[in-house]
Amino acid sequence: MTETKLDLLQGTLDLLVLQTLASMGSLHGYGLARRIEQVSGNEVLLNQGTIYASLVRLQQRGWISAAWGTSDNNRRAKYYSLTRAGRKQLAVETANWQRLSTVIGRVLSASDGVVK
Amino acid sequence: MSGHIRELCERFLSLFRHHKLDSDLSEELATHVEMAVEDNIRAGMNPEEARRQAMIRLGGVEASKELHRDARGLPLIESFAQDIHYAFRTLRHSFGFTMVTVVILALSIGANSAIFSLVSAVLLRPLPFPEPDRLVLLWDDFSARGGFVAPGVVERAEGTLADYVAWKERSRSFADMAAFTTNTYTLTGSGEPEKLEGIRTTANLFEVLGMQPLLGRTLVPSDEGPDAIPVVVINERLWHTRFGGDPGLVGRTIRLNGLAHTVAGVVPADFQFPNKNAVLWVPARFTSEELAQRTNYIFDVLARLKPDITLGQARAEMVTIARQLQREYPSNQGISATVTQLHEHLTHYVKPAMSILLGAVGLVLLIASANLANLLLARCSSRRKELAVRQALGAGRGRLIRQLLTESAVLSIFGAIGGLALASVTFRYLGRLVPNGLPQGASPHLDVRVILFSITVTALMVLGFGAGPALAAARLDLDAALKAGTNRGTTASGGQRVRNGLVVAEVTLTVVLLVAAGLLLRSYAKVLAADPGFNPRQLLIAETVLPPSKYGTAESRSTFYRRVLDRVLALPGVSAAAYVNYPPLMFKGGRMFFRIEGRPMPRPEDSNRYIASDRVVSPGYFSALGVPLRRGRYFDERDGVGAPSAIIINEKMAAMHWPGEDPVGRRFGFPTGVSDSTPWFTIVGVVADMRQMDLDRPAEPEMYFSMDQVVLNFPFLWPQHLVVRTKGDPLALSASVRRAVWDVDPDEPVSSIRSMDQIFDAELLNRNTQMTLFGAFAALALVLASVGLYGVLSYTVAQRTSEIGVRMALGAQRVNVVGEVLRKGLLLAVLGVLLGLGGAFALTRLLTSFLFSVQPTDPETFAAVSGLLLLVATAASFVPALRAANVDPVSALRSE
Repeated sequence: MTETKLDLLQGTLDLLVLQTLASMGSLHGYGLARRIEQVSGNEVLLNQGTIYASLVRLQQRGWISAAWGTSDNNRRAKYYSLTRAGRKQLAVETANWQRLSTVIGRVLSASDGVVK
Repeated sequence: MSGHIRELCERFLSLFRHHKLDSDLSEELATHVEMAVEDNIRAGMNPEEARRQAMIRLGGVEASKELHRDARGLPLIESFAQDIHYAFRTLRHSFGFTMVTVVILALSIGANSAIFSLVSAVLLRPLPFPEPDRLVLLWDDFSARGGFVAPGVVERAEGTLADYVAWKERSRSFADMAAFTTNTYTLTGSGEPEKLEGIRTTANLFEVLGMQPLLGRTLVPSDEGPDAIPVVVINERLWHTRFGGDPGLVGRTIRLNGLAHTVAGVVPADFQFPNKNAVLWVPARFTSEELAQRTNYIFDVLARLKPDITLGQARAEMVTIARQLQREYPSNQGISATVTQLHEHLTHYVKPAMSILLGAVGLVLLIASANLANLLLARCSSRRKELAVRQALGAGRGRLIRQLLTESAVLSIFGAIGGLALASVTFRYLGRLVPNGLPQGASPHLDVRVILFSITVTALMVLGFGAGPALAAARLDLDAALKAGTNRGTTASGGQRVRNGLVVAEVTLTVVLLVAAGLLLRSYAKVLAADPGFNPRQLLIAETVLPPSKYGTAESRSTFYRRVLDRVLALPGVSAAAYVNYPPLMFKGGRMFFRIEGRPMPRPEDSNRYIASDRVVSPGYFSALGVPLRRGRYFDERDGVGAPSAIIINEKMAAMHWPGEDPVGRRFGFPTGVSDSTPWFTIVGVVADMRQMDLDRPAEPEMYFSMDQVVLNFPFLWPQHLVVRTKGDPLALSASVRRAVWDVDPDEPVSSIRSMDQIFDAELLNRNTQMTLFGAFAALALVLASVGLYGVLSYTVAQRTSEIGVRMALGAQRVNVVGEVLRKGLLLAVLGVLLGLGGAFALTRLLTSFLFSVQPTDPETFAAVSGLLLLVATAASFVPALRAANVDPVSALRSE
């Protein structure tokens, strides 16, 4: 399993970030990256640098907010947390994702025999 | 949705706080790395490995920053700004290349913008009247008679007054119609007497044009009434120069030709109708005798088309009316009528010159583009490594193309600015080619149209010469370019072929331009060398126009002329002096019908043969000008007032009507339209031919009257030009000649004092200007082409340095190396010359009307141009050839 890691689909990183922030409260970039990797059971291939592009994008859309804070071992770090709009967006995107995965699952199982 | 709009605004705003955002991000990433390192150490890695793994997981600090910037900003705009910034840096770095490119661009865009500004001012700018398209001129059309002898044979001539009356009464196509003719007026009273050009016109002229006065009023129909007081409308310029802009002038009287005229109004300075010389307008008040004239084709007829009538409809109606007139009047036989637009009439004769200038300057543009494409291609090849490195570092192919195009664009903008600056410098000079009849605004100047034109040309050039290198870059083979190791790696032979092709094209176009310039130059030299039939050196011309009110009788004028001539001849430095109504080249008209005694009245279709130019002269005229006598005698005291009417003709006229006979003693007369002939005039002498009308046209049949024997009492037949042959510089005598005239009559204006040399210069101005412009364009082309050839050869030598080094190490002689490079240069040049000669052979016939006794395929010009080009090509090839010969085998091989 660890040999081939999953490539993240376009846009899914944003969803993961939103969900992680929703469950963890506020986190800094490194924490977010680690958390996503842990929760996914190290199955997601995450180029940690991409987290920051995602964060600035979500921030510009007004779904998360950022503030400088101090980490456990006294480092200055930027902490991100979900806004009210972000919470709403998370609900929308989660619903979308579930619909999409259901549909894709259905299509794949229907054409199962044909492919083989 | 609102999230996305908000994102767009944020992205835009981020462009302005990128410093803050970048420093925040750096800090954030630093923290990230430190945290990761700590975690890794805790997991048991040594510090070095811990940092390495942290960086791998992050994917690199700089790459993360790049992702962040793309996500937060507007990547397109930012990279554009970056491209420009980078372009400036690159161009500053290679200053020589940049300067050469910008200079080439500025020169070619400058030349094109200059010529375009001229074309725009003359052909594209509408006349300053309301609905100028509806203003038309009406003409008598002589094409069925085989033309009318004006300067050369023309198909149409101004109308007669009888025609004007008929046209006005019978036509339905025109809202209104006016007739006018040019006249000279002497203004006396305040200050020195002054000769002015004025227009004698029907009072509705201003209404037809739709012209509003600046002060007072223009002319009204009641001004033409039998007992109306004489009025005049003057131009703003005259109002300022002569009357100091006095606002109280309107309503006051001024003296014109000795008669009091009330100033009715002042029209703005840019009202220049029918040409720049006209400064005043008086009501014509044509007499019934004048209105009956059927053969005096000197009246311009201006009309305004009715709104729903087309030019074609008006023409058709005029042809119908002309047919009626042909049936009714014998003198109208063979004469139709035609209509032209005013703007078309004022500009049609400069269109050919404008087209060939545009064509020539377009060739310069093509040559410059080829040259620039070559420069950029060569430069691009030597930048292959740089481009390959950038591509390897992750720059996309599109991004590289954009970068190269941005460089071209920056160069072009500098070029365009330089070009417009250069063009502005030439405006005054180019103003020489603006036709006299156009209004003041029609001189070349910088306007929106010219600027837009320059921008368009620039944009086309960017695409033209920027696209080649960009495409070459897109095809860049990364591996090969990097492996080649040095920037003189192997060149694609395709690129070399393109470069050679461009140089050949440059040479081809240059040859065409050089041939054209050469033909014009030879024509100019031939016109200068042509014998005008008189001696133009050391001749002074002064104008003294006599007002009819004061000098109405032949006796009074005769006395004036004789007294002036006596005084002028007594001046030291004067060897001869005479009077004439128009000296050579001063007036391109003045012709009369004649009939020969004892021969039948000429039929209308033959009338061209019975027209000769007429000049009225004092007895000393021919000897003063140096015109030899062929038969009989010159005029003398025997030809005074009341003596038998005498006439002198030129050889051309004698050969035409009395071939092989002696015309002296024969008589002819002049049909006036009212009677069949004036009294008979007896030929007393035959003089040599003179080029009266144009230096570049053979002499016409000419006849000369004695100044004391008026054929018709028209003021334009009165001698008004004093011709003085001097021993030294003619202009040095201006003041004493003027004083001599004022000794005789202090109210007499003495104007337009010029030397015949100046008149020659004015006469040759257009020819001179065209030749100079073509010469300049051809010289520019030659420089560009030789730079192009030099560039390609230098590049080849640079590319092949190591190969040459190897060969020289193996014993090749310097001479052979030089010969090889020269051979290549000459091969390209010869190919270009051959193609160019072919092109010139096909194209120079377009120049035929501008040439003078030179064939468009003049072999000498073609040969001279080929020689010149090969010479220049050899010179341009020599420097790279020597550089090749000086390649040091040792260092060339070491650098490999």
